[in-house]
Amino acid sequence: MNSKFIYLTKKRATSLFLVLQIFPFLMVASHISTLKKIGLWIGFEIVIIGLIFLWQLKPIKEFDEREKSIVLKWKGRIIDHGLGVFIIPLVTVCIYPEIEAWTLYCIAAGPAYIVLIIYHILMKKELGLFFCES
Amino acid sequence: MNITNSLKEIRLDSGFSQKEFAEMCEVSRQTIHAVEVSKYTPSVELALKIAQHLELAIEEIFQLKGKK
Repeated sequence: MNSKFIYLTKKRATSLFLVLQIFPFLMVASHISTLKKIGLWIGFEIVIIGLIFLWQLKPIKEFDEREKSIVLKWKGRIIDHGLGVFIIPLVTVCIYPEIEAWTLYCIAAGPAYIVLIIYHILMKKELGLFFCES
Repeated sequence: MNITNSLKEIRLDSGFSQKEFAEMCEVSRQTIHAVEVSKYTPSVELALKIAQHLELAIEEIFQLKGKK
């Protein structure tokens, strides 16, 4: 069965990036200090770019069956475990409700990014893109 | 993994390199390597392609472990 996959193109990436700018703009409207605004803005942009990065770029050549299964496996893990680490801020809020949004953001986004980067490296390794194994 | 194969020996006997054989089967060289070292069990479609290009029956290339 042939399924059509919507790959990430420059046009789609730009549109998505612009649409997601609503979140940093909402944040700017809030009453927080300028320094924190700049910090949060950078943080939001990193998360937005990270989200777009999760979308599959159109490969130069079509993946074969093994490569497709590896990519799907690791993308699934990235989403599962990447979202899983958001339990940390939820638990933190329960224990310490006075926590600042900035701190909460850091402890949520930090581990999620570590998961994203490490899993991408592991995916590339399993695809055999790092070392020639023959 | 319960499937073993003798793809590497048969491929070498036929005089194909991993890259050439991968191109014939329309997969990556890494996939052929993964099949040869039993890290990956190919789909029926790929197994049939492999057998077709080597002009052998599937069971001559792939065997269930413990079966002769």
